[in-house]
Amino acid sequence: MDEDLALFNEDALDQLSHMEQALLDANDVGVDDENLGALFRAMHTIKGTAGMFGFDEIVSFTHVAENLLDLMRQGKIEPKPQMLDLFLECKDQTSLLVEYAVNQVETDIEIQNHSKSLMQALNVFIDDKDSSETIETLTDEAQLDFSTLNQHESCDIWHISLRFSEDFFTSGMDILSIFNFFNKMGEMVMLTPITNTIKTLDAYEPLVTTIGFEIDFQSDASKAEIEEIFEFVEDDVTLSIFKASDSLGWNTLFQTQEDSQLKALLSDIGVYDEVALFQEVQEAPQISREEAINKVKIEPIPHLQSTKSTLPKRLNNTKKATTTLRVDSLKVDKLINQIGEMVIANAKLNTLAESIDNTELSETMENFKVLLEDVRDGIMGIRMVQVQDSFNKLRRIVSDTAKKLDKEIEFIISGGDTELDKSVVEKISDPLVHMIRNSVDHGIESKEKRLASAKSIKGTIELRAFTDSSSIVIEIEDDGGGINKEVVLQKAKESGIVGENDVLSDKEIFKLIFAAGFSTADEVSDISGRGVGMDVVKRNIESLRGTLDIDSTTGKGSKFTIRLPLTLAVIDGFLIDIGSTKYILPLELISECIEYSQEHISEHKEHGFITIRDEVIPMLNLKTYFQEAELQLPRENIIIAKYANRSVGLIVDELYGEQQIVIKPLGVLFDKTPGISGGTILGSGEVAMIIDIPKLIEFQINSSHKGS
Amino acid sequence: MTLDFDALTIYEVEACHKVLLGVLNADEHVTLDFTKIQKIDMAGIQLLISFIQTLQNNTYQCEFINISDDVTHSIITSGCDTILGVS
Repeated sequence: MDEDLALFNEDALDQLSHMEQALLDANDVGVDDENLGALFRAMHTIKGTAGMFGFDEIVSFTHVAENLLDLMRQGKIEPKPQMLDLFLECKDQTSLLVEYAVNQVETDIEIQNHSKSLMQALNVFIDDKDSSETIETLTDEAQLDFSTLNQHESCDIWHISLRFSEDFFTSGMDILSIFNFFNKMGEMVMLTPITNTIKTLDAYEPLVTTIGFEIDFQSDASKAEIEEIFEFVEDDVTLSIFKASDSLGWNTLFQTQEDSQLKALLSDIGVYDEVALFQEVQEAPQISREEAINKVKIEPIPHLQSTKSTLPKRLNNTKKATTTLRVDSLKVDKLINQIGEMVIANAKLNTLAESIDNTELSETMENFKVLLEDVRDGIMGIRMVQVQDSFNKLRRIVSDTAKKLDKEIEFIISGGDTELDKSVVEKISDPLVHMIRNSVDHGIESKEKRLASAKSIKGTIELRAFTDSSSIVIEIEDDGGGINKEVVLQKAKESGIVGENDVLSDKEIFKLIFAAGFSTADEVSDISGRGVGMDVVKRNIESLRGTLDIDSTTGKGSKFTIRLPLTLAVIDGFLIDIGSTKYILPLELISECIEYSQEHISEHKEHGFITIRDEVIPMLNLKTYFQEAELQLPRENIIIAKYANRSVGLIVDELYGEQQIVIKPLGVLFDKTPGISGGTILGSGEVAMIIDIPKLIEFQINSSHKGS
Repeated sequence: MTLDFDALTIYEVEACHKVLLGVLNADEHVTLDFTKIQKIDMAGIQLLISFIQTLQNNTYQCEFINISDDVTHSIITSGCDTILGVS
């Protein structure tokens, strides 16, 4: 797929995702201007961009949906419940058409017929006369749209975007003088002060210039002549001049200005007329497709006949426009790899610097380390995305699955703005789908059962995300029947997963549902019950260095808790010695380090734990755990590690301190080593193992249970 | 209160800023008298915008009175007349 097509594909999928979100919102809270606008924008934008690529099939299809949505927006057609299902189908069909188009594969007759039948279904809602015209004169109409837009062109108006250096006021030049000069050369038909950069009085610096201006200037003057006005202050001014009808100019302006509200502000006051963009696209085929896509994406897209007063007030809207830059994720991955190599190189440099023992060099190295950490965090930040989009897709799954099973389910999402590494979000998507399906299928009871249990017919599934120290936690909680321990244990025994006489704790029984081949479903359905899936879920989560926990109460419901690390590649580590081997502990999981004193040794030997500030800390001797050599050292240390509200005291030898490390996979041979999550290369060139604290805590808990 | 400056330009804005900070805590309805001010430049206008925005954030109200024609003209030329409620 070439770059332009990939961009089109990504853009179309984004739009379709918004469309699905709007449909699900409409389903939950009813059709309103906002979700109707989102639906319209999705169809309108896809139609526009598809047209530029010559994807006529998509244009034809989306055009009919857009028509109906437009009539609904104008209030000419009342929304009906069955329309939502129809639009959902249209969304799926558009997705299919986009997939075929970007892969440059012709659709088969079956897909074409489905498109036709959906268009007919849409047209049922539109007036008969209009609908027949819609299909028959589709191409003409599309052209008519654009020709209507042409009327808005204003070719003799320059748009001037003006920003000043902070010390412009003190340069001796008054901005009013510049404006007076403008008024001699032509007419400032629109002068918009940009004031959101002006600080409130308490933080205000009177001599600092923070105001900016967006100007529509009607004049016969050329661009060069306008630029001449600023000849004397060119070093103190950031200037952007372009024809108001030049969509490329607008695009560049919005991309270069960091003010995310600018576009919305100028749209609201009518300075920026996106309609002109479409006209530009139609009339200027030499413009690249990428530019054209960016132009069509500009929001909001008002209807041609709508008046300004009907437009949403963008500045009051909580969903502020943001300036984004799309970058191939491979480029970011490459950067992350490179920063990883830099971290290793820096560690080597540090080791060398320490051996030279030069104060100036050490200080420089320290500065460099801080800068490197900033760069690392910045690059990692690029990969962080909100989980909202991923979560929203689950709404459709809940809705569809519930319908199939004739269940009523309220699906509540919270913490969608929680950020997680993009690759983790992608990898967690399938496990979440599976778990949510299971919650709908096995968790929430049938209506009859719920009524019999004196519960509301409508079940609830809550999906939450939040950050907890260095982890992101995702919880799926339902108010269903809970996990039936007896049934699970019985099935596990029948499947040979556990022995007939095994005695398991509640937690251990719950975890059986993640065992390979385990299923409690008597019948295989297309929703769940094939006996595969939940074990894959667990594996996927563990492959991300995450953990999965279950809580369940019979009759009240279940809660699945997934904990994932925030990042995957570079972390801050704490270097230690155990025996003669170097190990790394993730710094964020360490709460403190103390000496393994005589007092602690006695307490540990007597009780198996130590007490620190009234908190009982279970202990784990890592020398014993990793079978390292016993060295006779003057001092041993305890590292208190915390994860998921549980602490463990780890007995180790030497403590070296913190350093950035790059996590390297261990390879197949060492992949399953218990208590080790990866390896890293130290500045000295030595390899150090990264300790898997969650696993050690789990081991410690299991050992305690067995012991007791 | 009357702004006790002949002009509100880059030369007066620092002093005027201090005066306006004092006004902030005085009353929920602020009236600024421009009788003495005969000239304003963009530094002065920007200061007034900051003042207005600060009051609006605190849901206070403000009124500018006795603005000379020259100052009004300058404010209109700056395009800030609507923001400052001057016409």
